[in-house]
Amino acid sequence: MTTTRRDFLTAAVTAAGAAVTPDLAHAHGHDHDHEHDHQVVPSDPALRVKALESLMVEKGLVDRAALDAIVDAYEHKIGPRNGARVVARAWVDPAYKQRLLTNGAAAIAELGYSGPEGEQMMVVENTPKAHNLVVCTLCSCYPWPVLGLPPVWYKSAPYRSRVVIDPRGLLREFGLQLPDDVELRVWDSTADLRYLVLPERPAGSEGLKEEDLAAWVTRDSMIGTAKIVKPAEGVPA
Amino acid sequence: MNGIHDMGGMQDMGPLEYEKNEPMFHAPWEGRIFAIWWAADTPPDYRYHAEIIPPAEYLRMSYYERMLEALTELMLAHGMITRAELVTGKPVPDTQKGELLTLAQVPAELIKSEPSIRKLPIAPRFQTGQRVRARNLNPVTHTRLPRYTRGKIGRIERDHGVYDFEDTASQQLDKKPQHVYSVRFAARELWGQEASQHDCVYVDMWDDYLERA
Repeated sequence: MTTTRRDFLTAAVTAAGAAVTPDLAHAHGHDHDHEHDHQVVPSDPALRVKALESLMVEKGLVDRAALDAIVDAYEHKIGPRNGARVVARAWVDPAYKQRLLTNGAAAIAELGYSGPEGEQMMVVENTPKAHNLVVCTLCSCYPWPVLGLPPVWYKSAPYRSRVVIDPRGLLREFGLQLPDDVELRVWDSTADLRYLVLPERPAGSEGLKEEDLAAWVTRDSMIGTAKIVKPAEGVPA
Repeated sequence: MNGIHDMGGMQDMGPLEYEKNEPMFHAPWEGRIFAIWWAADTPPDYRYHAEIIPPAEYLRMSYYERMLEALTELMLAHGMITRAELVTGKPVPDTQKGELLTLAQVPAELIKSEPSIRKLPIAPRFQTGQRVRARNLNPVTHTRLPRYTRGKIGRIERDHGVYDFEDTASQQLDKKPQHVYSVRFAARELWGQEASQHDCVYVDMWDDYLERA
């Protein structure tokens, strides 16, 4: 019986003298008559998920209709159009913008958006002198109620690793060249706060109504990897 | 844990791959595992189980593959499911149960706001504007102290208030509520004089991560 990687990690925790729960220290020391290192996902994840869901439904750990409703909500209701409405409101209503920058979650909730991963919100404002960029280097934390679930690139190693050490190089890959003298602020979401960038209102948007402005606001502009430009004719933002 | 997940500052991860008009889920199973994770009443060490996926596997897997792996291991570790059940697909009695989220509860749960900020009379150890150093800590358990900040000097920009300390709370130990600050690190402090003098990184840090500088 070789030591599994999990046993090794557990031993490291114990040897370090760290205070650990019985769960962490002993959960993997209980039964060594079978190999139980991490499965290396040889099989199709679709099949594994299907099997796991069936098992959990049968055990009363999840309810299938509840799962359907959750998928539907994140596919159709919770997404960057919510954040776009927040941004547009801030552009047309200076008092709202002030509330948004002071207490992000409360101001966002005024428009009806709240929920998991949005309980504590910091809204950071782009100006001609400062540009903001959001990341979660350790995981993939993201403000769900206003942006939905993050795109693959946001969760990817190239973004998470380089955005703190070479943010300007990374922005150039997005097609955004920042002037040298603009302060670039990268926000690493390491704790309970989630970040939303309030982009600059673009030239050419003067006189537009709030709902028309919202159509100009892109997801990427609220992460900080793009600026907002006037949408091309007939092309949705 | 100084694991592969703590990748801030690495440079060899390849170019960014950007997909235009990306769907929320790329396959139905991605939505299903997300919903299972969202709905299941599980203990708070999910991220630890994601972080200890072997490095080569972590990099190979997609986000939702890691979610499947970490959630499975989490539930196994806490006795919510067993290896035998996974193999046979047949439930065995006497496993741990959480609270079942029903369809009727979903709409309220989707918009429920339960701020994790704690209203406790705990004094901050640092003041806004103060210079601080991120401590050189290397726990082998879950931590939110990124490696690239350790030993570096920053400035307290804002006091976010009191929050449970994830390093211990995620292990179901003492929650150690304490202040969390937004700490500003100049890019040159983190990466040397080649970095832009105009750039900085803001990192949210608990009191226990910081010392006077």
